[in-house]
Order: sequence, then C-alpha cells, then structure tokens
Amino acid sequence: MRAVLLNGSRTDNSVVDEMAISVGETLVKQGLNVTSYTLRDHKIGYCIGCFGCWTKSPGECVIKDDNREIAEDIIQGDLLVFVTPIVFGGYSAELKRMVDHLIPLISPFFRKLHTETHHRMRYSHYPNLLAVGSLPAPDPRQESIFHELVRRNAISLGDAESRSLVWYESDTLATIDELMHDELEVLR
Amino acid sequence: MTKLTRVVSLVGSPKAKNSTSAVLGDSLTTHFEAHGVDVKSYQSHRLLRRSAEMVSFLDDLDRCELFVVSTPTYVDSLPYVLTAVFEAIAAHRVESSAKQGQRILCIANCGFPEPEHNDIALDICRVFADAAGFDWCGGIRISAGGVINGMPLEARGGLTRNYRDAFAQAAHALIDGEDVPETAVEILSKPLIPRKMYLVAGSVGWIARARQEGIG
Repeated sequence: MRAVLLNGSRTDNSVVDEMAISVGETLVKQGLNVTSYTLRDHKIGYCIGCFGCWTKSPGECVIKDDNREIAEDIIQGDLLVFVTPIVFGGYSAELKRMVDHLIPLISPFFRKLHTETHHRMRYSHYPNLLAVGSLPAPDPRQESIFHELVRRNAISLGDAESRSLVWYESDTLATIDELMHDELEVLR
Repeated sequence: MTKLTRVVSLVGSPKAKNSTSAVLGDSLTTHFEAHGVDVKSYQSHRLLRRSAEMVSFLDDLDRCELFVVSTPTYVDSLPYVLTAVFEAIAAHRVESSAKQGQRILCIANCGFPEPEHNDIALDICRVFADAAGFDWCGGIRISAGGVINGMPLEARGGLTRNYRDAFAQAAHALIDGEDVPETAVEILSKPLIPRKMYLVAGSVGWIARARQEGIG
C-alpha cells in the first residue's frame, strides 16, 4: 500500500517538520511505502483558476512545474496524507497551494450527493485521506473547522474514506503514533 | 455611529481578469465611493508578487475602518493566494498599531448551486478576523457563480436586480456603521437561476469550452 505525504510546513515551523517525520515513520512501521513531499522545497505555482485542467489538458494542470508530478503520484497512491499547521482552522498556504492543484483529478461535470451538488470523478480509483494538523494548544473552534474541511475534501476527491487528527505542539511527538494507530486501521 | 470614511477591498481570486470575486466586491464598493468613502482596492495575487504593494496594503489596512474581502471558494476553502495574504496580515498585526474597532466583511462565492459550499471558507475568515483583530460585520455566500462569470452585475439586467438591490442595502448599512442586514444575506444566498437550469448550462458550457480547445 502506497502513501503520498504532503508536508505543508512553513520555513519558520520546524515543529511541523518533526511532526511530518513522525507521521512518515508511523506509516512505514504500519507497512506502507511512503513518498514524502516537503512542499516549500518544490516549484509549485499557484492555481490561476483558468480551468485549463478541465478544458485544455484534461487531468493535468497547464502550469508545467512540480504540481504535475505530485498530482500524478497522488492519484496512483492508496493514501493521501496532509501534514500541516492548522491556520485559522484550515490548511497552511503551503499545503493549500498544492491542494488547489488537485482540481485536475476531478471532472468538471456534476453529480448529486444527498442534497448537494459535487463534481464527478475523473478516475475509477482515489486514495483515502488522512490529515494531521498541529495547533499550539486545544482550540475547539479551529479543530471543528479542520475536521469538517477534511471531510468535505474527501467527498470532493472521490468520496474517499477520511480521518483527521489534531496534534498539540505541547505534547510529545510519540503521541502521534498513538493518534494514528486506530485511524490507519480504517484507512488501509 | 461614526460614518464610514476609509475602506480596503481585497480580492481573493488568483485571476488577473474576468474575476467573479472582483465583480462582487465592486458591487459593494461602488456604493461606498458614490457616498464619498475612500476605497483602496487590492488583489491577493499581486500582493504576493510585489512586496512594495504588500507594504502599502498593510499600511492602508491598519488605517481603514472596514476591510472587505471577496473570494472564490477553492476545494472547499480559501484559495492559496488569499490564505497566504491572510497569514501575512496576521503576522503583521501582532506588532502593528492598527486602528481600534476595525470591521471585516467577507463575501465567498462558489460554482455550485448551493451556498453551503462556502461555509468553511467563511468559517476560516471568521477565525482570521479574530486573530487579526477585526470585528465581524457579515459573511455573504454566493452560489452558482458561473452565472456571473466575471461580468458586471448590471450587464445581466433584470436577472441580477435582486443582487444589486441587496448589495445596495448592505452598503448603506455598512456606511451607517451597522452589520450587513440578514435580509441582504438571504437574498444573496439564493442562486440567480434554478438549480437544474444551472447544472445543464454548466455542463454544456464545459463541453463548449473544451471543443474550442480542440478537446472531444
């Protein structure tokens, strides 16, 4: 089983880098092959909202940089893992820059899911989604937004199974292993 | 209540032109300008590429009474360019000498016919507002944004009359120091055309665009 880990840490956030290493190590211990991307080290232009990935080069962003390789790796994997500081309840800008580039992986056409409209899927297989976010201390409001964001992203990206965890920077990195254990049983 | 004198308007879309978010922001700020309010307008993607412009923006932001943010919803939340600007603002505000009592209004729009798709984007905006020291005075959800498609609301004639009236109502309330009226929020949350019509038009539109590009 293959996991693609996206590390959305900022240059000033070594704690999140350490968290990403711990998450990666836990995944390996659980028997997954892991490819990790520290996103700030990659050349990824921001999505310009042109929809060329739907109309000009379906399935691929028109911007020729690392976003293409990473998106291709994601869709061929079994588990997509987001590691990020939680910023105003959402993802860091570093992570969001790549998440915006997941649009090519879905279709422009619509489907109905319960009472809502969503996009149809382009492919027959999508990875499950695990998101691990960090906060300096418990923050129920931000955590609630983060969990809901991950849930909705999983719907957008193939109705995948998803789990989201929050790690407090005041805890030790060893707790990450504990937090992930039960969730990985569901996502594998 | 003190009358409004200075507004900063920020567009969260990465598009250089034909931005629905810019149109929606302008639908509010033109009323401010008509009442003699000074409005400074910025685009997130330009701020990230031009450090001098970012400095001017942050300075104007510290001195304004109302911050208007108009953004698309990308993958259920804010686009990268706006997220990055919000991070920069929050970092700046830790040490800045911003005015007291500054307010923020956020407008989020999406391409789906249900306004709920914008909820997380606005939730993130509210947390940002608290972190950056702004008082929340309203969140507006626009759905079926493909009907607007970057064109001024006036260009759509009677179809957008309710929206134009609602933005006018919102603007007058904000000028008087009040929050955006719930009646305006409610009107703006309804899509401009029926859901089924929008979905059919959307699908036809994507096929037409792809054919123009020689696809399919």
